[in-house]
Amino acid sequence: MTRQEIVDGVAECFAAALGVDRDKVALETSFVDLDIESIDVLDINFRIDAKFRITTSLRELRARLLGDLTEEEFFDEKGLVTDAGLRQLQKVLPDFDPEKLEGELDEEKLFSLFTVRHLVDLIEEKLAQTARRGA
Amino acid sequence: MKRRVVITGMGAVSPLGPDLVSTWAAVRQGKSGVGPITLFDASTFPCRIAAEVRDSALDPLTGQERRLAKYLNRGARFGMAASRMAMADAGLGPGADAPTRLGVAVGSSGSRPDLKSLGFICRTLTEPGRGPAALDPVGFLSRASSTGASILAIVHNAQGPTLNVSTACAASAQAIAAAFRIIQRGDADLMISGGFDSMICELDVLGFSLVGALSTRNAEPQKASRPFDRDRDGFVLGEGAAVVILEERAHALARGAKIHAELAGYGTTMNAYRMTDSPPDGGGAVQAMEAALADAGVRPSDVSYINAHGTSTAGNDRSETAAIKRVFGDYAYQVPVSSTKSMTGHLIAAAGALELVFCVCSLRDQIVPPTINYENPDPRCDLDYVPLQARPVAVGVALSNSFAFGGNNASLVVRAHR
Repeated sequence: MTRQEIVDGVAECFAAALGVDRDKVALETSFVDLDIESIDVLDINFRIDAKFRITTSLRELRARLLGDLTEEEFFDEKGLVTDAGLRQLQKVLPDFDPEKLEGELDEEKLFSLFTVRHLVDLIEEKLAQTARRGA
Repeated sequence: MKRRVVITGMGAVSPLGPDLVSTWAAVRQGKSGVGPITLFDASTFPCRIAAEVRDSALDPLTGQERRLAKYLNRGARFGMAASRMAMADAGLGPGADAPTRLGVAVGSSGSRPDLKSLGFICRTLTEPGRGPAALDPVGFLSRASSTGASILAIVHNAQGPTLNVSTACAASAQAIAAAFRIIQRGDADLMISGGFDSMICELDVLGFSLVGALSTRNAEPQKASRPFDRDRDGFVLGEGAAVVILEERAHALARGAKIHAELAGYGTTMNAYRMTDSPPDGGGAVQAMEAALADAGVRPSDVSYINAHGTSTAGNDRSETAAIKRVFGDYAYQVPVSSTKSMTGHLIAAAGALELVFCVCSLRDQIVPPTINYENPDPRCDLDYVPLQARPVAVGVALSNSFAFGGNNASLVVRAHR
């Protein structure tokens, strides 16, 4: 499966789950742009599973944002992202600018930073793993 | 002084048409909405007929409604459409003039998965490497009976009291009654109320067939729903929605709203008798009608039209006839009684709302709907059922009955607004 096929397939899942046209879903479109709520993520993952036979979860996406940091390093005791966490986010989210943040960044807001690309990358990796296992 | 409640908006989606105007026109003409089931392959079912809403009745959804459409089962889609019509008819936008004073009270049944989805769920749960994570999280919500009310509230920005009633065939009458009381009590000024339902699916048609409730007159679908007729053999499932906007009278007058009628009284009782049999003597339906008339402050002889529950089952038709005679005495033989289910089929949770809307149309147009297919009277049903053709009648007060499997009775009274 080519990268483009994955991009198209994932975008179709977003469009179907959200009741929007396919052209409203671009690689850099963020979850906040699409006004996604938590059940939408579950719905999108269900549709991705049906299309690609790849099971994903919000937890896996979240793990990508945390990178090598532990929960304690990424979040402070109030549940807000630490300075180390913000530096990590800049690594995985090229467009992320902590200066532009409105208010504090908590778990819920973190989720709105995801873009379609994150899901595409995750699916691509998982498909490659599956292919390797099959080979 | 008691707060009075008027109806300032109405909308409907029915087997007779995609809106209230076409539906009511078909009722006046005595048309049947019944035909072969097309929503699934019913070829092996004992009952293969129903009154289906044509899919074209549903406008393509746009914007927020399109996004929320995944949470709406078929019945709730009809409810959404009817609620939009009713709000437009009432001249109200989202939130009306005060979102926290606008509520939602609807009757609905929820829905079951179709056999294809059920098969997918069963296979996926047991398939190695798949399991629950591969299943649809939204289907669960769209099947729940409470979801429709929530989505209606979101779309119409109704932040006042919101509830869903699931008492089968009495559901939307009881929902409208709940909305009526909410406004009387002062908990809201405006309520989006009514009901929606679609039970024309494998599991429900099977269920109603297994309990022996459905007509199997498959060769003559349009003749199948024949309330009070000697040759009836069960009811015909319908589907659709009807929504009314209930409004506190002074609120409606202050904004110059068009007032269709006054919702004047409500009575409800429970037979506490048997699960599916109707009490032969009329049972609790007697007290339900009496309470509704007393609540409205009208005498039985003031009633000029009764829209019967009239399902076209021997049990209901005889029990309801007996109840009407006990409430109305000799006057029972003078008041026109008809069953619009002869045309629409039985909309279950939406039936009471649609039939109340028909009562309001009767008040407005001074014409009462017929009972079609009433050709050979059941000797035990000897009232004036308005056979075959609509009839001009000076209607000032109308009574609508809704009785449910399980024994719930609900009666509503509407009268011309003065």
